[in-house]
Amino acid sequence: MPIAIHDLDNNVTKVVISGRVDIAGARDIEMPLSVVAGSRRAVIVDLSAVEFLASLGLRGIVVSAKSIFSKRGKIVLLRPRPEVQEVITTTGIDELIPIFHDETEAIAAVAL
Amino acid sequence: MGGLPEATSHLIIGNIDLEPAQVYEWLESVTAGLPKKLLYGMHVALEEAVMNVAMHAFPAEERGEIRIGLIELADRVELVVEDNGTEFDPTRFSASPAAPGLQTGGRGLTLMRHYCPDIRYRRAGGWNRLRLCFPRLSAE
Repeated sequence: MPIAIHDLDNNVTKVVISGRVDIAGARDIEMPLSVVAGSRRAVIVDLSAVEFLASLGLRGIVVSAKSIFSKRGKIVLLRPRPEVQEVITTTGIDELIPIFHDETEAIAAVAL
Repeated sequence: MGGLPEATSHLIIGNIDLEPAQVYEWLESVTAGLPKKLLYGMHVALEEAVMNVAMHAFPAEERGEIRIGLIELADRVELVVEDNGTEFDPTRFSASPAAPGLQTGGRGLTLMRHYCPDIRYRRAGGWNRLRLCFPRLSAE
């Protein structure tokens, strides 16, 4: 499974995505991500194990973020590799969903 | 007419039963030896180009053909994406649309252009022919 969901303390949920989030990978993460987005309000998306990310994968993350924002929740991205971070910053997603490289800081940013 | 006489390698895929891993494996097999950073950009640009064709070039349920080729030249590497679908010239769209914010679409072309500033398009004989040209980097 390219996506794992961990409940941390303080109602924070960490979603760990791994592998290549290409067309197929985006399909695999879409449903679990939307379930998390529909039920949680403090979400960290750990991208450290993502080898490839393009617009379809970003789309899934943005759809989830919209759902979380609509509930006044918070979502951040954690530790993308440099090449994945370039994709995120090129599309300006980081202005909406901030990137953190330290998990403690990420938790503090989303904790409600 | 849509052929790839100068491509050193090519892959023919369908728009409906598109298997993304097949595209990546092909790209990896034909680009062995290229710098990793260049390969990543090629992968993103190719995926955006192929996805665009697969999602928009053919009417729903209609079977089409997409051909992907690689051309190696002294100063650059080209990925050629050809399809027999609706005419579409991505080079006619402005370089970078305003950041799409929370809109769910519109990032594919931005990414394609970021990784591949030199994109050439031609329509001939009922085929779209898109050339993604990547200069060979001296770094790495």
